[in-house]
Amino acid sequence: MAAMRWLHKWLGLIVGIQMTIWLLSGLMMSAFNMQTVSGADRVRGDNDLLPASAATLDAETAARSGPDARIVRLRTILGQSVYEIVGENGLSLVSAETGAPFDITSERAAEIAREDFSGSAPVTRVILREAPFLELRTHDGPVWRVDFDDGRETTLYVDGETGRILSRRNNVWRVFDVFWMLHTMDYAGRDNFNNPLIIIAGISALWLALTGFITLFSSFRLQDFDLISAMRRWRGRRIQCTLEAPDASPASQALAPGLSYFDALAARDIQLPSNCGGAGTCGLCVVRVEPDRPPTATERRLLPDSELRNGARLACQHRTRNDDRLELPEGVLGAKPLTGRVTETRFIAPFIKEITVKLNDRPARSPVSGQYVQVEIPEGAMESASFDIPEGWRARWFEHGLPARIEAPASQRRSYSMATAPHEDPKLLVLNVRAVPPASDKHSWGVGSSYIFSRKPGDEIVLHGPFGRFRPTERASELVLIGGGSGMAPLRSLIRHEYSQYGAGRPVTFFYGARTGADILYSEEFETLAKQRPEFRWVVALSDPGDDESWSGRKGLIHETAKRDLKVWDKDLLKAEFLLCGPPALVEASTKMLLGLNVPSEHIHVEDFGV
Amino acid sequence: MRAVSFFRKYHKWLTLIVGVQAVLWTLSGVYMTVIPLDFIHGDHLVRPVESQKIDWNRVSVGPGRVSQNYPSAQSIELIMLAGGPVYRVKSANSQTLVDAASGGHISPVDEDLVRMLAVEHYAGEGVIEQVTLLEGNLPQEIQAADPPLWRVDFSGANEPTFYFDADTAEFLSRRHNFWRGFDFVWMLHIMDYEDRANVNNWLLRAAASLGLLAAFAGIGLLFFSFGRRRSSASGETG
Repeated sequence: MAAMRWLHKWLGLIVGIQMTIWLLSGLMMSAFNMQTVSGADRVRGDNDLLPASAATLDAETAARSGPDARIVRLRTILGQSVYEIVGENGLSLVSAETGAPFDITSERAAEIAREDFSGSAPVTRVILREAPFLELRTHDGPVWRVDFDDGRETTLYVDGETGRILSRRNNVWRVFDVFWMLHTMDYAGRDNFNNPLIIIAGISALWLALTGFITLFSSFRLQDFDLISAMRRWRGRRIQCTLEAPDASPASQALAPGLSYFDALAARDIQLPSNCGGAGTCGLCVVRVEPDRPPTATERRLLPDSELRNGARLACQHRTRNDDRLELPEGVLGAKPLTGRVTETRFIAPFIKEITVKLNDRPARSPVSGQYVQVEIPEGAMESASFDIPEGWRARWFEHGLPARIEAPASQRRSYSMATAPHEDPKLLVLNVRAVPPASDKHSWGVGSSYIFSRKPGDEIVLHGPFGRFRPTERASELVLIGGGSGMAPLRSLIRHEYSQYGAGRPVTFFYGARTGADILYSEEFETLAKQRPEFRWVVALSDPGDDESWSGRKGLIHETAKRDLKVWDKDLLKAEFLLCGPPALVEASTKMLLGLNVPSEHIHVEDFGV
Repeated sequence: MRAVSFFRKYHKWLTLIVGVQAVLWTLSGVYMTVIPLDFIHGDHLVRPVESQKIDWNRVSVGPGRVSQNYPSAQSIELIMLAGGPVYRVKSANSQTLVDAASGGHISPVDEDLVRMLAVEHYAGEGVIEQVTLLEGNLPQEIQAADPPLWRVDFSGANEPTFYFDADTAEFLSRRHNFWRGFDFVWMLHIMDYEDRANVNNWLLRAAASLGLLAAFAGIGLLFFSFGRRRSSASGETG
């Protein structure tokens, strides 16, 4: 079938134009009234009877001028009886009354034409010509051309020998004849449709039609004839799908039922890349779908297995489904990258740097608390010397064998949550970036964190976003936040929003886990807040306080700390919502713990892009 | 909607409607162009037969008398037929053959004469298989003629047929299977399934209009069909 499409496409390139010309000229010839084209509509149509006194001369006498006559025809020309004698020497006309030669003079030709013509238009010109020529292609011999001024330049051709009307031409015919020429592809004689050009074009066109016809069978799917869906579409019914993209926050989109995703999205002005317009031939409209959709044969042909296993499908191959989730490629939803400059960087923990970026413009989509941005990491090398690691913490870094250079082999993106609330300054982004030491000897330091750690104030930075839906619903009457490490960022953003003039000011308990006292981020800020607002509780637990004598707070893993508190919670847990962000192990253990406490899973929000 | 989607959609749906006809148009077109028209016309089946000189000694009835006997005549033609002079008298709606020697009415001509004429004109292979007088309804392939006619069928795979006017013994036309095939594909080509002659029918006009729109959409698609195919996956994110 793919071969058929391929052939159809190339044949279309070769004879597509001629096919169009055939259809156009054919349509025009069909549209022109043949009565008008042939001039038959302006024929008087009287039939002259032979005069009663027809032949006063007998045939033999008349034929004497041509003794070898083979046909002697008695007929009427302009009301007079005339013998038309066909003999050895061709054709001659003689008067049946006098026997004198009856020549077709220009006066008689004009009179014959006037008698035939039904209108009252005057004859403008009578000239003698020798056929054949373009307007009289099949006759041989002298002809009188008699022109009429009838608004369409009718010309009657009168045979110079017999006085008969040979042909009736007019401007309609002349236009028709051009279409006929285009149709027969005989640009010289116009009538020979057995010429090699039309034969070659015709056979190619036959293949074009055949391959197209065969292709039709695979171009239509049953869904195209789904009248129920068509009716629902026509009545404006829509289904809801969630669209995701790396450069846009997930959004619900109303799509037409019964169409392919490609067509349904196109109808909402969301154009996926495509060369074939949804025919299933170019393989460009790649999206990710829910894994329960088996790939079609077309997809198996056009997409590598590895991508298919990852849920990659072609949007033109699958129908819209209610409550479906679709991941679109980047750039489709029309988001532009953000640019800005680094204004400030500082270490806030041994491995965590706070970086502040001032955007050049406000983001097209206003950021919301809890969202993240993606930082563009360009290809290239970063110097670890530029990390500016404070003296006291260097030792911990070199435990992991920090190299002098860290290489980003290709440009890529890393996601970081915003640590402030957007209402504070929509153009200001504060990120908490944690350096990622290699997991083993075979791994290298994280390129995203290395890039950000090497940024200096004034450096330009390119970002995408904001993305994400990490926030509580309005239904929650109380918030419980569980976080650790740089998972602090979105939680801090949510708290700063909650207690701003735009927030609801609900009770918040923030369980924060750190390894040592030095790893607690923003502790002063939260201690101050806890003093100012009694509804805010700040609970920190250190997993590895060591011999830190100054630590008098909780010890152990934060989810266990939280569990102890929540078990004896004095308020209704079902009315609380839980927001989790931090290392994967923390998020996983905390989720399990909450489910164990019968917290409904829809009350648990997780930000888990791999902090 | 983007152009490529638009063209694709219209090309697909329009060709669904006219796809079969497009195949028929091109198929019939190829038939008509590949087989030379002179062959279709059956020129190879006909030998040119020269009219004989008029034997004036045997013409005893003058054209003047004939025209008096047939006042509605529009033309009177003296020719030699089977060795004797005859008049073909034609009026608006009838024609007849008159013996120029006796003045007697000959029409309709008999089978023997038609057989003789047929053999005289026939240049093809094979022999006469059947001679039939057609008086009522005429077959499709000779619709335009006026009955009565003599139909002369020759043997051979190509099934050649000659038609003679039974009133005037005129050789009207010849048919054979390639002509019949041509006539059939012409019917398919102009979509006039009754008379096979009227190109001004609305079915043809509608089909050609839809076909033209489909062709335009197809041309439009061409502009997109030769772009790059899918590239390798872009760099991973996150």
